[in-house]
Amino acid sequence: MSTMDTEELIKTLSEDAAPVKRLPPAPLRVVKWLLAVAGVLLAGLALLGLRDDVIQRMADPMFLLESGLITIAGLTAALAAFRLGRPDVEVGVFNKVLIFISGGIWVLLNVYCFYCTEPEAITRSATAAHEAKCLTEIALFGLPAGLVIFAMIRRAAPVHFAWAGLAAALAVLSFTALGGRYTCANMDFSHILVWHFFPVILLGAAGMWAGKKYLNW
Amino acid sequence: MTPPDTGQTSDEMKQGWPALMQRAQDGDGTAYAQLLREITPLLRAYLMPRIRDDARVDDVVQDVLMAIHTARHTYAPDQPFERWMYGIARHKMIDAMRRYGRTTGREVTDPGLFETLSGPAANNPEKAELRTLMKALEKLPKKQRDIVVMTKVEGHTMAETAEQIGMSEAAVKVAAHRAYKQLKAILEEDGAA
Repeated sequence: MSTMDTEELIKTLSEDAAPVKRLPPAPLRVVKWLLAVAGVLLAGLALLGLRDDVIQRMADPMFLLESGLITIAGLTAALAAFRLGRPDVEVGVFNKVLIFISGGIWVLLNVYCFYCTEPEAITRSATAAHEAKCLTEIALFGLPAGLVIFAMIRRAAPVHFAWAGLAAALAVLSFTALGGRYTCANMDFSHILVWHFFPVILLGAAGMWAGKKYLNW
Repeated sequence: MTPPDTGQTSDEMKQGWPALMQRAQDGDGTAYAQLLREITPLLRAYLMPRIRDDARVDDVVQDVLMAIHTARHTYAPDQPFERWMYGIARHKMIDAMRRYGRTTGREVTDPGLFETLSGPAANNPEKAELRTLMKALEKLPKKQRDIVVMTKVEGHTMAETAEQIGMSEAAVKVAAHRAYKQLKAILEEDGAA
């Protein structure tokens, strides 16, 4: 290819210069994504039904605290994901802090559940096939939300794929887990650890791989 | 092809890029073509020390121009244009290096080189000064080299560079000053040798 080809390319690109809609700021894109997530969660709740004891749970301070922390984890991760969804943004301290807040909350929740249960109970939950249905809920809530966030971030031309993928995965899984807490009535710490909270850590880490694979534009 | 000599200096040209990019986003093909022509020599100078294969540099330059075209909606008018441009260029450069099976152990850049080569009248990649400047930059300690690249080439502010590298802004400024002095000393020594 020669400089003459480059000139021809420039000519072609300039002829193709249709007006474009500028990318909105990250917080606005977060809001748009949250609206999509809300729709997915509502649809999921309608399909799966709310847990029978939802009224009692809403009066339980620990449950509300847990829901609040999970929401914060989701929001901070989503903001980091969309902030990283641009070619001129470095990962930087602020984005890392947002991601570590999200990840830190999940580590905290996992550690809390771990210390509130027994190893034997964890093993029993892990091998109880009927408890695995919660994974179906993760897929139901998570897949559409994940596809949307990855599509939105990819369109914004990110350059830090692993970090953006990690943040996006944490955001999706946080809101997925939040939805799961309102459909699954199993209050055993071992069940919550094995089928609700620990998958967030595992799949969040897989988000780094997914980012490298699917966010490269 | 070098851009037409409009009599503008390199700095004057660069100051016009955000406005040209905004006009391009609004669909002004003439402004867009002017912008792409003006940035092409700079992109070539940026990529050449990294790709180290003149035959492939033009391929990658064209990849970058196409990527800029694809991502042109992502440029925010209140942000530095060069940082946005180099973000895309670095991304495509890494893709190219993977494609060509070649990785460089460390990035090699030369800020003076880009200032020199970005002007419309000067874009000769065969110049001996290019190699001299590259070698000089390679002799700098990594942290100093990174600071020079981020501030002089990629257009980051001192504060942004400090955040990225994990130093205080004052420390970055001191390190940058030392880097420029050392670069000058290296070049003088190499010139005397």
